[in-house]
Amino acid sequence: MKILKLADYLFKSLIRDKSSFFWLLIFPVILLAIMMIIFPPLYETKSVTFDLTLMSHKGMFSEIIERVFNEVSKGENKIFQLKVVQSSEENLKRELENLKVKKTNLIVEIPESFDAQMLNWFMLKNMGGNPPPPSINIYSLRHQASSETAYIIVKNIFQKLELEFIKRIGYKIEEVTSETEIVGTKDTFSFIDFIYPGIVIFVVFMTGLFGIGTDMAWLKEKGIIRRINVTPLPSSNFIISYIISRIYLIILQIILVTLTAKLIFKTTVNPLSPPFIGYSLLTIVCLSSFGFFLASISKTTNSANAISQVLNFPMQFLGGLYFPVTNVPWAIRWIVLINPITYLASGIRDSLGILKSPYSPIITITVPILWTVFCFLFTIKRFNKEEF
Amino acid sequence: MRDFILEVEDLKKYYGEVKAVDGISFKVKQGSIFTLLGPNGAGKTTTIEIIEGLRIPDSGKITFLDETVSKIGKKQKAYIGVSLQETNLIPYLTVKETLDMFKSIFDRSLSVDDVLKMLSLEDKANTYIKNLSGGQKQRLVIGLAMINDPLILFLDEPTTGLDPQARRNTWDILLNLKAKGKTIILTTHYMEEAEFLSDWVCIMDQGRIIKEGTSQTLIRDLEKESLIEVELDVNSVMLEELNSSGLDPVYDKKHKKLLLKTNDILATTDLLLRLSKKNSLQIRDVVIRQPNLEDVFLSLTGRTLREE
Amino acid sequence: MRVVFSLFLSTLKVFYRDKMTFFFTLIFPLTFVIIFGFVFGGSSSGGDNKLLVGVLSSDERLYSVVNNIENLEAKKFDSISSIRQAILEGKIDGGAVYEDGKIKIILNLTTMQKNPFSRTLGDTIADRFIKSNIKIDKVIDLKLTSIEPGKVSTSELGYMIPGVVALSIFNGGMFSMIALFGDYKKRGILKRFSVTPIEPYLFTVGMILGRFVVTLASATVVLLFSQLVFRVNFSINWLLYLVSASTSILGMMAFGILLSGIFSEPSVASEVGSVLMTTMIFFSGIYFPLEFLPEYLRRFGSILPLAYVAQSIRISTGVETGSAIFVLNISLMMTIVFFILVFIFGNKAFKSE
Repeated sequence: MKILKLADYLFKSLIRDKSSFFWLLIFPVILLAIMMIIFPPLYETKSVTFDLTLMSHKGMFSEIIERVFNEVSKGENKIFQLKVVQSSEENLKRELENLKVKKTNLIVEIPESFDAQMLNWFMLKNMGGNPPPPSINIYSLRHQASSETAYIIVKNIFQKLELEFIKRIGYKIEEVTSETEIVGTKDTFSFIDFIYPGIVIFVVFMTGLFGIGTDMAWLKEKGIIRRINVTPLPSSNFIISYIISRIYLIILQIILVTLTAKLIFKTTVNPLSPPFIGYSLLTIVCLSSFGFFLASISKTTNSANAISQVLNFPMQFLGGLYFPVTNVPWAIRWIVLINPITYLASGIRDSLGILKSPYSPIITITVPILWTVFCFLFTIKRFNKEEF
Repeated sequence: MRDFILEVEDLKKYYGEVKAVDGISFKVKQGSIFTLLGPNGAGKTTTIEIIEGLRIPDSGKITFLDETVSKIGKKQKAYIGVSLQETNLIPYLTVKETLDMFKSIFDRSLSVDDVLKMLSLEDKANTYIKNLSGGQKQRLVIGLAMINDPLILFLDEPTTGLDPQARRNTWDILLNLKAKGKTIILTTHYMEEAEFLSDWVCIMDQGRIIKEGTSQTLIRDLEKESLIEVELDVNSVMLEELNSSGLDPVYDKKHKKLLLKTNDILATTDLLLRLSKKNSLQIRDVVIRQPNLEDVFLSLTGRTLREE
Repeated sequence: MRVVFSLFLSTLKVFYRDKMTFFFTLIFPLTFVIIFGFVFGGSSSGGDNKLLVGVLSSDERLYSVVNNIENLEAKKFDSISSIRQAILEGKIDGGAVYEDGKIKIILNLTTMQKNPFSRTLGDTIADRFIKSNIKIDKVIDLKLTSIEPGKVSTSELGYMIPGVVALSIFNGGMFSMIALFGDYKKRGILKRFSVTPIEPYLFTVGMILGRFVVTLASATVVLLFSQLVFRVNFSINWLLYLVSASTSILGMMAFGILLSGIFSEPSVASEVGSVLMTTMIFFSGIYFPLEFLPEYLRRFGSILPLAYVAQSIRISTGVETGSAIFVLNISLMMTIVFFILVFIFGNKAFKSE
């Protein structure tokens, strides 16, 4: 079949180029691996030990607090690496400097008056008054994720401590525990499930921009399309062969990414499920036509390349491939809303039960289709108008 | 064999104010080498691309294989082979794969091996295009033009940028093709190429054919046997005197070259020496030669074929 | 001297024509800043985002407890099954039901990751629930003071921008040298000059100087642009900034020279550079925290050149505390490495012609 043979050659000529081979086939897998290294620990923080400085002194309550913190700073999976220091103004100054240069993650300072204030508080409370509760100072470092996380953990510990204090003072409290029930299709949270469809969209997008957009612009600029035009081959045949050659590439890309996601990172997403296949097809059609659109508006390969480079990064990030972009200021929200990737990404994740989409399924399908139709019609019009 | 395989009548193509092709008509005999000769911008490429179907003429008629069309279609394209002005090859395919790819487009074609042989590219069959030399690429481009065993080959500036040896090789291939009965239409701005290869030459300038014929008749029409090229600074007095002697001098101000056409070399050189001495003008160089197509063009337009 | 100056001028022009370097030195960092500026610059994550929690309308106490917790808003439902249904449909984020001394929290994992707070939701609600009975709101008042790591108080964006400036420096330095030593060499431009009476050193100096100035200017444009547009608070020590930026450029240029020395084909060197840049964006700890990564990765991240450059720039802009000595040490090291590499490879580039 003529069309398939031509498609074969077009495919070969693309992947023999080492640069295309690397960026379109190898790099997405590398990117997936990098993301899997960097991001899951941010969500899990299970096995991290934080450096905590506790500034304490003698006193009934202070000693209880100290004991509790010592407990969680023991053993293999200890939460804190604890350093206990005498509470004083001098020590505080020194520890704050340590905090600034990250020698410690968090400082918990029990003021000297704490124990007395605590007793006072309970007395007044018992008598029916409403005294302000005594305070403990916590110092964290801004722009430090570990400091902020340590604070949340410490806050939790204090929540439980408070109940202890209340019991000690003689209040009868009801024992209320909590348990969590998970509904829905997913029973564990998994970052790979989140990122895998994103990478699939990324891969198709890269092909659209560079495998089709700049490549076609190059074929046009180099005169190869003209050369085909002087043969009896109808231009529609050429386009079909070209599209088939790109489909070969995209299928290869998706297989590579899927194998990596499934075998190495154990995603539970089923690539053969109807939602996945459906959205993948929609992505392929939409982003490929976008590539053709790019080629038709670029006069030279250089300008196609420039446009692709400029669009590449923003469209990916503002399409929510790597993190949610639902609550962004209006200044860039319009980019998010115009971007077909936004709908493809949230649509595929919603349909697989990974993350709820802020847009209804109808919208996530319709907007990419509208994009496809627009790009397609524009390209055809340009194609016909142009005298080669 | 029919007389004329291709006939073009009053072809016009205007781009706004620019008259790229301004009423061109010619007839091409089957089995001949037909050349459009002219400087860059004469309209040669536009003309040939209209016939190839790449551009749409504003008016005119094309009769190809006894069928009149306003533009060439799929049916005609099966019988033509084309080499465009740019070398448009895909860098990561091999020579053999490129030929095979084009071959697969046509219903009838030659075998890839035969074409490789014709082009003397057998040892480069599995080389990537990006690793070929300029001359080798050009040969391949011609090979792609003949892969479908066409009746007519359109070659747009087929030897531009090649070294003399590569140019000669290409000429040999073209003569070979002619021997096989092919018709070749080529455009060029090299007069040696037109002289050496062509059976018929159309001299083009500014969108029009200003003269046509065989190279011999065109040169003979200058009506002079010899040309004397003199390098000197000439003044108007001397030009007047040369004019009145019936020598029809043409002075190229840019290169400070005086061109005299004559049938009597001795008399003319004698006159030349006398006049230059009389006007105290120094002759730096003198060349006496046979006229060529360049001179034809110069005498018709006052300009040279080659932009310098 | 005139020669050096005219080479310098022509290099400025070339910068804008060399689209790759121009893009990655100026446009890319600016785009980065704009996107991250708008996405993260405004409200902190989950600021005005309240989680909707469904409770039974029969449970007044739970309703008021949940409502009183900051970041939560309670909604009444008739039955547990209707709560579950609403969760599945995404109408609410979770549910809380009180039954025999237990507070059952119902969650859908697809909404959970939107707000990591939801992980401790059960504990928090139970805690407040207990306290509401005995009418105790808070026993200990935890007063949090977040101190700035540097001299000035900046937003998340402000803290990140020196990292973006570092990226601009990295790209400008690296790519420009790959173009110079790799691409120019390939195109024979160096060769053309080596047959003129110009000393090779002068030629190299002229071209490097041009690229240097342009890179420094671009990086500074990125800095000032972010400061202006996003109203970031910096306390820029200009002397320290110029020293660290300039020497970092030299250091990154050294890196580019090294790459073009290793990979003789300039397009390959340029792509290796791109891959390294992408890796460094993730692993240098500037944009994504490395603190939760295993030890070996954290150590890897800390030795990356980009991390050092970013640290120096952060100190110079007052966003981080650090000694000027540290900055100067790094600067000195960069400069030395630069001159060594120029010496090794510069000669090689001309000799091999």
